[in-house]
Amino acid sequence: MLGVVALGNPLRRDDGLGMRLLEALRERDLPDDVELYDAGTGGMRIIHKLADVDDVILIDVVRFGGEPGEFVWFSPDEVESIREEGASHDPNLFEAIELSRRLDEAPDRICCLGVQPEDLSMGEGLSEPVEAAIPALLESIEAKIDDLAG
Amino acid sequence: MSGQQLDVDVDVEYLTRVEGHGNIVVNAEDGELETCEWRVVESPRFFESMVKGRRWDELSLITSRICGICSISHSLASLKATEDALDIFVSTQDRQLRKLALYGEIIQSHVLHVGYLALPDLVDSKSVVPMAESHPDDVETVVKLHRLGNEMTELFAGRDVHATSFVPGGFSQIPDEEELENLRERLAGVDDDLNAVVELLVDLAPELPDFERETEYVSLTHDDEYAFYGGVIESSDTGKMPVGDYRDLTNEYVVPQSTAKYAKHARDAYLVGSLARFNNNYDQLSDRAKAVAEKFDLSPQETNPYLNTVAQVVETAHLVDASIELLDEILDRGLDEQEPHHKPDVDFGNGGRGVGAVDVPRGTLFHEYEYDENGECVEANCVIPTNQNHGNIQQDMEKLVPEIAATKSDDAVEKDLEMLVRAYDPCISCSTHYLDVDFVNE
Repeated sequence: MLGVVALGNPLRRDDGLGMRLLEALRERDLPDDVELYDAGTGGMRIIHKLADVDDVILIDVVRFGGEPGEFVWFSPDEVESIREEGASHDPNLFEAIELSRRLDEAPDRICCLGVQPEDLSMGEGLSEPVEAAIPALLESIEAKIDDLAG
Repeated sequence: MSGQQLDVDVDVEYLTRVEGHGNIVVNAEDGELETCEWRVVESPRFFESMVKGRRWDELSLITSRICGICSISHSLASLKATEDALDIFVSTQDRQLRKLALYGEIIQSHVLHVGYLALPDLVDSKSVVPMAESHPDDVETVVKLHRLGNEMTELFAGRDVHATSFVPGGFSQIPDEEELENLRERLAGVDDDLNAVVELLVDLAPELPDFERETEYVSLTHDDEYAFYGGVIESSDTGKMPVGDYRDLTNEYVVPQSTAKYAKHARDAYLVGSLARFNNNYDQLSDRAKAVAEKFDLSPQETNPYLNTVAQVVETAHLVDASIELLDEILDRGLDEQEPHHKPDVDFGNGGRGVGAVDVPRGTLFHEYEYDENGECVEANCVIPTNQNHGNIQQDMEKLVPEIAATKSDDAVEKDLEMLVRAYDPCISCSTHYLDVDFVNE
């Protein structure tokens, strides 16, 4: 089973991007063994989803210094540090991944998709540049799904 | 202070292993305590304004996103406020199924706090991750219990986070009897795991600082059960008051050092959460939960706030027993089938105002809504448990620091203060999930 897991909060503008992408992916013709999952802001609970799937694509908003809407694929092993200031409430997606690995429950392949946000204020709806990135993001995710599920 | 000079300098920016951001700043020089502050760096919450203009059947979905750890709790407080405002009937079975969803969430939240956030302090580990190697069996047990709580919420709420099955008046979808029987079997088989966590904490409990400060303990209370889903407000100082009068309890106010609101009632501060519930409702705990409390010599009125973590373990045992009892009641009676996606017929009349209160992992949660004649929300108020505890944390710090600063090193004082805040299991600003990262070789 390949999990496509979105993290975020649709009431924090661009933080809701992952949920929008999942909605769009539900309309697509995806392989049978793909599970789309909205993890919201559930924190450590993600370890149980990681234990359930063979491979995983994690979609989140990531401030990596790019232009709003710009996205990057990365592996958790490429992450040098989590900046302390302004970091998320659940410190740590990467801590959850590490714990999952040490418990020998982690998916074989973990692919993270990070999208640079413009607006994380309270409210619904995405910023213009993040909204504009959706077609390219969907194309890139579908290519990754084909790659992992194929 | 035994005549020793008070001299301490502690500055913890962004306390780790709590949900959100809080800073601890303590400074004493030449025997004078100059600063001793619990500073909460919370983004202003705009949920109240965000739900204005939204329909009665949308609010629980929106408010479930306030917090990822307590999303079921927010959904339920929201539904109860809407049902109170618009006079919507909820059947006994639906109330029982909602309780099971809530109990699952509290089990997972308590285990998360005890196992992943508090235990590392007691074994001198920076986080739970290294414990997977230093204490592999314990971590495995913690993850197993956490998973059980998570699966319970998934079964009743439709998902493990941000419920999709809840609607005003009941559920859009309920589990079948076979699923309830399977869950009952799993809960009945959890004894060894529960005992393992209890024994581990019994061994480590002497590491919890010895500190006493009596305060006002506030929770819900109910004649028939250890209250979580419903009841009236109980204050250890002033007794019972109706949920509808919650503003007379919370009296929210602003302090200079924090962006979060604080609360006070009969004293300068009060405490909500497991320890308050334990103190107020001890007699209604299950026998097993009382036996767990006895292992820690925990009995009401307990005044050491560090023992909130122990009270969470006691409640976890109680919640397993209470869940089995509820499942037995439902299964013995036979599960009433109900139409999927049922939605009540609601007569909005001239609109209405209602309050929903639920005792959730960190304490008593209040939602209040006013609806107009079209069923649209015109006013909302939400008071979360952590905000009710901020003042009490501050008061604890002001008593604790002079007691320990003269004899302990700055590092030791810092650790005691960090553990104090963590004991409250604060959920400061858990409404967002973006990450800030630096990549290797960038």
